[in-house]
Amino acid sequence: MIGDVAKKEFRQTSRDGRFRVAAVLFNALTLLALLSAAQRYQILSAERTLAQEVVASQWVEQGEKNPHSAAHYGQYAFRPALPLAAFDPGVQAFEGVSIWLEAHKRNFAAGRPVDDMSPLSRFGELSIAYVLQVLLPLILILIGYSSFAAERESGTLRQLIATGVTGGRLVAGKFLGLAGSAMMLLSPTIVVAFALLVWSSGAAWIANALSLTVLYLWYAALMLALVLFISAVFSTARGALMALLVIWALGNFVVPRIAADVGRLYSPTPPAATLLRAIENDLASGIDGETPADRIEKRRQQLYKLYKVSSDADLPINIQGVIFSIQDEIGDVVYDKHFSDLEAAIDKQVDIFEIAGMFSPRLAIMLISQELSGTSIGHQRQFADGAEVFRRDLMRTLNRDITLNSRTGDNTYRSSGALWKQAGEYRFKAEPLSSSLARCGGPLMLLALWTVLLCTLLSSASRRLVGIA
Amino acid sequence: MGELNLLRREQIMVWIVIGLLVAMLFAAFSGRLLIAEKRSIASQADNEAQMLIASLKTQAAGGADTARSAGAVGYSVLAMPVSKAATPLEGLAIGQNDFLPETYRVTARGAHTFFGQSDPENSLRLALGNFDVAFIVIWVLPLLAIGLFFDIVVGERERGVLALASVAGASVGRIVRYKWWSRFSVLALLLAFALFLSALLQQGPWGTTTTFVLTGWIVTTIVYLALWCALALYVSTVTRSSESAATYLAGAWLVFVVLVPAIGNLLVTSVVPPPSRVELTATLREATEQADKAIAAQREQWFFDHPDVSGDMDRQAYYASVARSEAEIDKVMSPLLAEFAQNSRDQQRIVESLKYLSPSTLTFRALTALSGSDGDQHAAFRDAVIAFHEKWRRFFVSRIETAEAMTAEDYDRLPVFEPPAYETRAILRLLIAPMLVMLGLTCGLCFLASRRLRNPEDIFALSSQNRYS
Repeated sequence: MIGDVAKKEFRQTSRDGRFRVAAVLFNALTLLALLSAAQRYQILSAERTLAQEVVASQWVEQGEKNPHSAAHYGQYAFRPALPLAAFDPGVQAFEGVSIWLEAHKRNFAAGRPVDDMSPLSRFGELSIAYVLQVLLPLILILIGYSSFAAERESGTLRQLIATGVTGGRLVAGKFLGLAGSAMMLLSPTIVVAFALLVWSSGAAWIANALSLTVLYLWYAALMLALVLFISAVFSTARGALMALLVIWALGNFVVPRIAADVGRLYSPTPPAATLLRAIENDLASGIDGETPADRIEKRRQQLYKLYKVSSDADLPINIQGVIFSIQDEIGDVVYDKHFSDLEAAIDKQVDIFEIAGMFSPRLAIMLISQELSGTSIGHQRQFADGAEVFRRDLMRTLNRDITLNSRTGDNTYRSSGALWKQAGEYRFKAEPLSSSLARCGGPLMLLALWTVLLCTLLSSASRRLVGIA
Repeated sequence: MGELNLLRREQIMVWIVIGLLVAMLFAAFSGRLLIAEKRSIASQADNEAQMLIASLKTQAAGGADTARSAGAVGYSVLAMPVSKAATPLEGLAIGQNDFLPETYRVTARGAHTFFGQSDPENSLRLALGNFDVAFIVIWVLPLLAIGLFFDIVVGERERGVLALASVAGASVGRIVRYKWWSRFSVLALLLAFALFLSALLQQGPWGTTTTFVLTGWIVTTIVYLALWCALALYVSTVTRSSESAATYLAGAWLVFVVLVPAIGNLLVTSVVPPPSRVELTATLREATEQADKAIAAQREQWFFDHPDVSGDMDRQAYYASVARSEAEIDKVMSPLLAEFAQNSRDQQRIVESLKYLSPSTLTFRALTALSGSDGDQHAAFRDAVIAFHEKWRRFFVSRIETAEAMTAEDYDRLPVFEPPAYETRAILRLLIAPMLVMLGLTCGLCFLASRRLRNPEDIFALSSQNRYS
């Protein structure tokens, strides 16, 4: 019986002119979004790979220099374009793409693509993820709002119930029938997207892509359950349609923006000038109640004692290298503190988004989708933190070279290619899928809650169908 | 009155009034806080700069080396904050104000050192956009209009009211006109009142410009509302059922509010892709290296960031070399920065043409122009900063080149930044065409609907056809 209902529902939907128009529009849009994004990915990927190579070769070929001059020359870390960014660009447009890795300072990523975007970007970027998160539910609403309500209005629901079909089977049949139609709608996009992914980057991102496919199918199933529930509880198709459209608009457009504003009010991020001033103050006052000058003096006395000397000039090492290291030690602690505070403020805002996911499953889906696509705030942090770890190693290597291979006051000391090669070049490594999934606990929990809630509601509505038919 | 009583009894109006007022006031309050924070940052930066200038002036009078060195002051000590001028009611439409810088810290170094700097922000929040009053007007208001007007004809026909009125000899057109005007007037008045309250919540003194901006906001919003109400009326006269009317109108909303702007954005980015920031970074690095190499001999003994660690030095010679180095870097970087500015102008030109594709983009353009948060005003600010930077740079470089020491009087002669003025006439000119287009469309749709209503038989004939076909 479930199969019969499903077949009938599938056939009826597939023959519906509105569904056909929606299917054509949907696939045209996803294709447009996919091809333009794939092309952009190719350009960005090539450009950033080349830039990283150029910077690496500039570093190695910088010629003879004092290592501290080289430290100020520094290196650049470029965030590579990851292939699934073509599917879900996430927050990438709003994050800088390069970080200058220089002495003493932890710099913010610079060069945000959004700085060069048109004013229309405020309306949103057309990506496949956006189409799936926003338009797919609308199509499901349009094909499913009348499932029960229209049958009730026309009296066919009463006839169906009279044949002995239980409410549960009816709901299951309609769900399967509509799900089949939705799969027919989604299949071309899934096939083309996978083909493009394999063509552009081989099998490296297949696990993420499969996870994304499961995620969006789960989302579609949730939306379908919501549509069927509303259609089952409203007495008219018109009422069901209006309610679903309101829920759709609120969940996709209003709730996310309200969450964004509430997040900003609840946990504001400091402006750059304030943050930099606080960092400068802490750098000047030192750490653990010890000023930089005191710390340097303490280390100097330790070195005098160790080498049994009484002046910098008598030391067998260059004290300036030690001073640079102490400045970096202090800087590392101070930057860690302020960057952690900044990240904590942003995390609190993200917590608000997660809470808002209780009212809008799109927010939960969006957060997971960005994690799986490598375009989330978490991935940006992974890039920035990786670059910072490299910067610190780089500075340690250069400071050690000054300290051990030159004497205090020797301004003519120069290092060359061998040291630059030994110091290495920055190379970004994408994190494994498990690390990305580890950050999805909250949103996944919300989706699970939505699933339980909708199953319960749908089950209760199916029991009531018999009574209200 | 009868229509209003009907709406009140349905409780729709009560909920709309409460919902719209609460949403508008929250959005206005949130916008006010965002703008107040930006203004406070700008004001604090300006106060600090003025205090620093006053202190340097005193030190220069006392003969202090640093305060008398144009190089030290221009390149290291003094970064002059320049801010975009406050515009009335800018908190109502955030536009690009949340991610484009409103304050730059100008030094005698190249423009690349301060352009591209931004405050650390939650990129996810930026990606989601703001819940500002413009968002409510552009995105939510059409949905309210659709909710109130979609069944204004078709619903009455389905309930048999129109047939009854026709039999009783009443004019169907008159009834519908009356209903339309009643609903529209209530919504328009409510909107004007909510906008007035939102304006009162904003910061700053109330002047004639504020009145102009508020009037512009009210007129634009009401014209936009009228267009959606007229569209709903027309669709309601040509569709067979309320569901069809709601479906078509939801589709129109999706197309005009979501898809056209998003596709427009894609088009703009594809037709005039922004120059590469990655390339800019790599070029800057190369230019810096070349310039440094060129003057390396002159700076043999000094480190750029630690001139003090090298012991004796000729400060004047050092800064003269920095000036030469900066000039070389500027020669390379200026054309690249000009490319970005030109790209922004090209994008804006295309957006100006594309805005006529959707009433939402027309309204967005008008509201952000009124609130001073559109691309034009950001471009004008940027141009003014470039002009100011040139004056600022010349002021210091001319003194470095002639080895002229800074005097206390020189601090009174520092160039002053003049932000571009808010031109009410220019804004008015910008508004006229969009308003006329939207009014023309509104009149056209009302005319088409009236023609249908003149022949009620055509409307009744629709109901005899299969409502689900």
